[in-house]
Amino acid sequence: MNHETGLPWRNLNEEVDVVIVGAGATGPVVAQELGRAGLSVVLFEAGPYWEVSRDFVSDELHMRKTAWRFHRLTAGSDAPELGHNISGSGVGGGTNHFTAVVPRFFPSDFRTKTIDGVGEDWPITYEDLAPYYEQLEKEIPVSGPKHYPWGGFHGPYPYPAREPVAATHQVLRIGCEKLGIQSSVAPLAILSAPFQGRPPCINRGFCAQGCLPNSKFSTLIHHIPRALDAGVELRHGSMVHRILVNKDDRVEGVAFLFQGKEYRQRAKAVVVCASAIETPRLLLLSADGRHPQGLANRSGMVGKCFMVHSGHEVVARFSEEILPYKGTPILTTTQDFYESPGDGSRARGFSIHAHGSRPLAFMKIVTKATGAWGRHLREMARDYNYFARLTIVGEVLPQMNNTITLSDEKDEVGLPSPVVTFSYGDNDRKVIEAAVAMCKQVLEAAGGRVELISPDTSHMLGGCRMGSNPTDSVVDGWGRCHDHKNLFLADTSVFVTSGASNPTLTAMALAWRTADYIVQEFRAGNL
Amino acid sequence: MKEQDRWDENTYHVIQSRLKAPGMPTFFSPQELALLKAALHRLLDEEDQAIIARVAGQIDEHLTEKRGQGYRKVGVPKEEVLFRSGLAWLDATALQRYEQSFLQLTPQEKDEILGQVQRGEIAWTEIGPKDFFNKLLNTAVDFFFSQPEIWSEIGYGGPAYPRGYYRIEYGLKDPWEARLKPELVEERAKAGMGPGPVRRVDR
Repeated sequence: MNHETGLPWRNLNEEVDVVIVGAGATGPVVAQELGRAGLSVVLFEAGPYWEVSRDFVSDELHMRKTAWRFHRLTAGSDAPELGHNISGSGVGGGTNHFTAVVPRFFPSDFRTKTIDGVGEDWPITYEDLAPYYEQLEKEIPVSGPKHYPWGGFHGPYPYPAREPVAATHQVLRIGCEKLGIQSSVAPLAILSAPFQGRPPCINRGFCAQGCLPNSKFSTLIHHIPRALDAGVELRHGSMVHRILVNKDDRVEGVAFLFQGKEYRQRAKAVVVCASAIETPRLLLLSADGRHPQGLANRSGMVGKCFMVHSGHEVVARFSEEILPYKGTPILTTTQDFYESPGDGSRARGFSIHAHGSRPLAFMKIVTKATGAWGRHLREMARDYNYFARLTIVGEVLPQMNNTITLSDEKDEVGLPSPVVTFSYGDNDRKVIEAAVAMCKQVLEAAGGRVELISPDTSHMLGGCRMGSNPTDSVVDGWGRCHDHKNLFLADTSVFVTSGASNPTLTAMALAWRTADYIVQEFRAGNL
Repeated sequence: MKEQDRWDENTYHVIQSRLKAPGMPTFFSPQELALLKAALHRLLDEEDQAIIARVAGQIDEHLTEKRGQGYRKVGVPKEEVLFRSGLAWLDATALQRYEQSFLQLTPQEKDEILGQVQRGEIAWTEIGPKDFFNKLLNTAVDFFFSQPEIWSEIGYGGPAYPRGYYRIEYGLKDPWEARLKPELVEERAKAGMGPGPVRRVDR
């Protein structure tokens, strides 16, 4: 409580060292590290402060409340669905409802231009991130196989693999074995054995609805308590809507809305961790007379090269019960098709995950794939237990015409809504085609009959990409904005390419590295 | 549902409140609600009026509270507009074609109109028939398949906390999970409803 204002905040009238915007997958990591280094930190979150035992239940419909619900618009020939599976709201953000699949990016992801002639190279390499991947895997901790067949890291993971896997995930394993494809238990931020008072997973299956036993990692239960212990001040229910900047292009703090009123918080540095939609949106919302295109945007690249992952669903019917609700949603994976095939048919590739289904997720695929209603709908539903699903994570290449812009329409708090414009490119479609064909082969090899194929997307990436050239990127390799020396971005918005791996661990590793750099810069007196 | 005593308290309350009979609608007028129920009856192929009434009531609540889904495509109206305008157009289409309200049509006639709406074969102003249909169907499916009776019908094991699942591999079931009656499996297969003619899994 602040005694002068009667408001529930300690540091409102002071200039703090760092303001962090967004308490999702990355903000709490940055907060923890800066707090532990002794910096004064205020962490903002637009949504509520969830309390697991009070707010989480085992119900798909009810738990949609953990999605970002402020109004957004979509456009383009493949306008993405921005539902519950894409963006989170509240402390913990998307980590409250992600499937906790945490593979590392491959070394080649950082050099697609050099290796494959597509996309852009990152200004950093896999080796720059490797120590942060390792620290995170130990800290969360990650359960995974002793030997992981792909990419730059072959294990062993700190915690044992989640075995046995449920029938719905055995399907992928059996199909791959028949076809001579490698498969593996996925690296998961879900416990296979107790850790610091958290129990191992009980296969309840509601990872995407928030983990009740706390077996699944989230920043809500992991980094937030550690950040608070380190003295970080958390302000939830507070929507930062403008970054304040002075005549020398130094950022001075932020303006935020709390219960309909505007307040300001001064800071020596600002770190934006608000997601690939909200981070570019905030920079655009911060436009002023001197920066009519928005902050950090001399290059014109803010909001450009937004990416998703293609996430097509392929579902097959089996003659035996699969019981797709049992087990965590994803337990097995193959990354055998991750990179460019030798035949020149396409650049880059995809991962395939076996994916369990609760009824609403399954029925959504049924209606999307078939348009079924009436008797047909009920017949499909009755056979729910006989279906197994594979989901692709397909690489999408960056394109200038896939953008985040501002609309004339206002959202619930009166700010211009973001418009997300997205269309697949030719190569993206080739990746999808190859991935769907491979899913079909795997399911058929396992004894299933493919009945449903439904387009979908997952993850949001890019929009403020990193690069060494200030004319075609927004931040440098440390996440520091080219145009403002004390403004940093640390989330998936800085991704240069999308990879074909679930991006959370990479985003967290990048954020941790940026946090270390900020501490170093403070110690050197540069901030 | 018979396992509800094993659910955690918060989940139990959320599911219990979903079973309550709906009160007076606050978003829809009585006429709109009647049209919604008639459409839900056909879309969901559900004869139990109490379940249809609950689903309709929960959609009304959803729209009243503007829970929304947080996004929509440029050019597609807000869901409040889609629902209200779409139901009015559904009735107008029935009046135009049969000189009767949608409520008075036979099931076949209702299905014929709904099919044309789904395929966009009807010209409406302000909203696109396909946009309305997709919104209506997806919302109906969400609320209908969140009803516990329907979970039992499709063999969904339901909320499993704090108990969890332990026997999760092919062919295994936890002791409290429902077993299939072999006769029923055969009957369903004969009726073309059960598992299709696919190979056994070799594991």
